[in-house]
Formats: sequence, structure tokens, C-alpha cells
Amino acid sequence: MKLLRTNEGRGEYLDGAGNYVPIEKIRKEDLLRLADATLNGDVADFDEYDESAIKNRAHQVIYKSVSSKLRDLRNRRDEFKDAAARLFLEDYERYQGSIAK
Amino acid sequence: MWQVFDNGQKLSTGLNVILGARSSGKTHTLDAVHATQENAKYIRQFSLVQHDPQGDEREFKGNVERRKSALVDEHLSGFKRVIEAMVNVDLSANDKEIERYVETLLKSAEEIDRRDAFSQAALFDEVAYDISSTDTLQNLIESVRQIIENLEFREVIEKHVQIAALKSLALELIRLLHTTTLENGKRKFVNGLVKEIRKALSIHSSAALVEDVDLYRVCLDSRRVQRFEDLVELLKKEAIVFEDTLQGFRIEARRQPFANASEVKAVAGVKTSLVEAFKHYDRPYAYLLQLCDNESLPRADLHKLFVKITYKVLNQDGVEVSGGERSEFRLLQEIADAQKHDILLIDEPESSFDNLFLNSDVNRLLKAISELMPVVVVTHNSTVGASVGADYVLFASKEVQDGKPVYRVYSGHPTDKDLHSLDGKSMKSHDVLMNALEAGVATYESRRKGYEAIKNK
Repeated sequence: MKLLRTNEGRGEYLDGAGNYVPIEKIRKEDLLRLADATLNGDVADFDEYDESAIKNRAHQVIYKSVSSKLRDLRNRRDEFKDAAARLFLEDYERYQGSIAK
Repeated sequence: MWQVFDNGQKLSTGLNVILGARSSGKTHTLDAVHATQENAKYIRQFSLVQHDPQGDEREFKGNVERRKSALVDEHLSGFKRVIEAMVNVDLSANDKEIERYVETLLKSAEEIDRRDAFSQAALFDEVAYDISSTDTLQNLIESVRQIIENLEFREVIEKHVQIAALKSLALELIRLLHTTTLENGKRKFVNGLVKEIRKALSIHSSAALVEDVDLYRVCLDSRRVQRFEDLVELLKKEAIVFEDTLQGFRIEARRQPFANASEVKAVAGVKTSLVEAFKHYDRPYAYLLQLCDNESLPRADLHKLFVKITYKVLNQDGVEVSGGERSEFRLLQEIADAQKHDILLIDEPESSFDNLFLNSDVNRLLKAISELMPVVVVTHNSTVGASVGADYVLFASKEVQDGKPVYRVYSGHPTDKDLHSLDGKSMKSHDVLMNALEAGVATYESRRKGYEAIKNK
């Protein structure tokens, strides 16, 4: 399912329950969840911002900003996975080794 | 053999024993050897033995503590770096950053119809470019470089990959690093410019400016906390982190979780209570924040407050050493420490150890160390002198010549019939051993007969 979509002239985001909600209702928890899904989810799909597809001007502002943020994150998915996998790895392996001894 | 003094006196590169009666110049000779050496381990007479049991125990514990401290530093050095990275992670600030972004974005959208010429400028709503880290790329280049430059395993490497292919891989990665670095530089420049322009536009406009948030960093920080908590949980699992044996003694350092706030306080060495912080001990990140809030705790030592490391010296029965065993252990450890030096000098190890210990442990260790470096032992104890297996014997002698005392050193191999001084005098080896170690032939014979009489009863 798409994380963001344009539908009937409105911008919408996918909430935690799998429902689409008008983008003006977005909260910080939603944004964090969308960011996490973009970096770690199986797919990070969303409609690109298209001014003509969104009639509501407030939706335009929010959708443009949020979709741009998610696009940047999507471009850095591999970088994030590499960086996350490397976090404290050397120390983790070292201390794991001392338990195995 | 090597010459130790300018007068031509030589020593063995192995085990040398200096014998002699009291006040014959044995210790003086050892001091003279010491004066010629830059990196000598010198264990002086009685230096390991104290007659005050409480002082002895206190000093022993202090010694153990120092060794433990070095070991804790070594074992937790990696974790220290982790803590240094973690104290900069502020999830609460990240949370506020996202909140501000969403709030200002919604407000800006709400006011879209009231926008003036300044806020309608495209740059007013512009967000900063993400700056990619080049760490992974740099590590990768370093790894490839190591494979290319490795000589030790060159044959194995070439069996699987062509060095030429690795070189072109390295070149491509370096080019990529160059491009990325250049791109990051441009992006940083643009970000700075955009920030300035947005600020200038917002001064003239009544419209709300959207505050930016770095979602990548926020997500990575959150992952960092998860990984940190996993790491601390791992650290809290009980493990023996260091184990060594020394002639029957076992040194053991054990890692385990703290049982209560008092234990943490003892390690931290502070007076303030850590009870409140310890309530969060099961949630490592929250616990770290609590520790950071306590100003009496030095930041550089926070890594020591997550797990307890105990250091014990156990005897052959697995029980912590006590009393005389402490002196024995210290002597063995001092001798073992000599490996960091070029020569070991030891004055009368028999000062207060029993013959059984000297024969079983000290002699064996001295002989083993003498395989690595010259060892010089001063003794008048027959267990050390006769049983240690000396490679070279020196006999210090105070003689009266023309009414004046003259100090001579006779030396030779233990199998030599005579020992010789540098000025051409000689002594029978058998006489030297009997006089120095057994208090003379008559005493030796009488003692031997005594033992035989007991044995034949």
C-alpha cells in the first residue's frame, strides 16, 4: 500500500490501521511511522507530488513537504541499512565473544 | 656469557646464582649489576614481605585494584566509545524537532491563502538537502586497499580474485568518494544559502516558517538506541572476561550486572545517591540519561557504571588467597612481570618463604624466565642455591689481606671443580657450596646423619 497518495483532489497518508486519512490531520507520530516504513519497510511507495492532482492548497503545501522528505529518505534506504547494521557492531561482536568463551 | 663489569667479570645469559656469607658483598654485587642495566627488574630483599598482616592485606588489595582498574579500562574501552557516542543522542530533542516541523507545516498550510509576496517565494518553503555520510564508502576503500596491499596472504587472495580487478574497484570507489564529497560540499553551500534566504524572507513576512527536521538522523538515532540497549543487555550477561594462571594461583575477572545502587555508587566513588538512577537500570538509555543528569559523575567514567567487574586471586582450591599466600602470589607475579624487562635481579627470595614453595614454584619460574633473559639470584638458601639449576655461580667473599678487607668474586660453572677470581685466585666449588649453603661440611654431615637417624627409626 502507498504511504502517501493523491485521491479526488486531496492528499492522503496511510495511518497505522491501514486507512487513508486527509494529510492535514498528520501528527508527528504518523510522520515518524511513515519515515520508518520508508527506510525499513518492504516497499516505500507513494504518489509523487503533482500540484494538478491536489486541489486543496493547504494539502498541496503539506503533501509537497512530506513527500519530499520521504523521497529523500527512500534515496538513502541502502545507506541507512548499511549504517544501521554497522552501529556498534565491532563492540557487539567483541562482547558476544566474551560470553561464548 | 656476557661481560657485565668493566673489570671483565662475566655473567651467564641464563641463570646466575650469587652465594656468600653474610656481609660478604652479595647484595653489593647485585646493586652493581643493577647500576649497569637500564631496564632491570630488581626484587629487593624483604620487599614482598610485610610483618603487619592488616597493612599487607591493604597493600595487596590496592595492588589487585590497580590491576583490576587496568583490566576494566581495557575490557570496557570499546563500550566507552559507545557511551561517548550515546551521550550525544537526544531522543527527546528529536521528538520536539519533529513536533515543531509538523506544527509549523500545518500552520503554514492553514495560512496559505494569506500569503504575501515574501512567503510566496519558492525558497520560503524549501527544505534542506540531505547530506550523505561517506563513512561506509571510506571503510570500503580501506578494506579493498588492505586486500591489495596484503603480502602475508597474497597467494590465497590471488587464488580467488585478481589484484588488477581490485585495483580498478578501488579506483572506482575513490572516484565515487570524490564525487560524493564534492556533491556534499555543494549541498552544504546551498543549504547555508537557503537557510539565510528563508530567514530574510521570514523577517518581512507574517507567514509561519516551516522548521526543518532531519528525519534520517532521527531514525538512525532511534536505531542507535535500540542497538545500545541490545549491547548493554549483552554486557550484563555474566562472563569471565579474563583468566590467567600463575603457578597454581588463578586470577579471574568476572563481568556481571550490578545488584543495587550501592554497588554502582562504590564504583562511581561519589557521595550522592544513585538510587533514583538505578530504578532505570533495566532500561539502559533511560539509565544513561539519569547518569548524565548527575553532575557529580564524571562523563569519562560513565561506561563503568553499567556492569560490575570483579577481580579475584584464587588458590589451588578455588578459594580467595589469604595470609602467606598473598606474599607468595606477589613474588610469583613480580617474577612473571620481569618479562617486560631485560634482566631480572632478585635478592634472597627465601627471606620468608618456606622451602616447599621455593622449590616447587619459585625455582621453576626462575629457571623458565632465565630462558628468556639473564637472571641473577642472591641466596644463601640451599633449596634455591643448590636446586634451582644455575648456569653460572658467583661466590662473594670478604677476605683480609695485609690487615685490610678485600672483596672478591669467584665465579664459574656449577660443574667446574674450581671457581676463579679475576685476579687469579681460586676456590673449590664443593667448599663454596658447603660453606655458603650448608653452613660448612661438618654441619651438613651432622644434619644429614640426623635425617638418616629419623628415617631409620
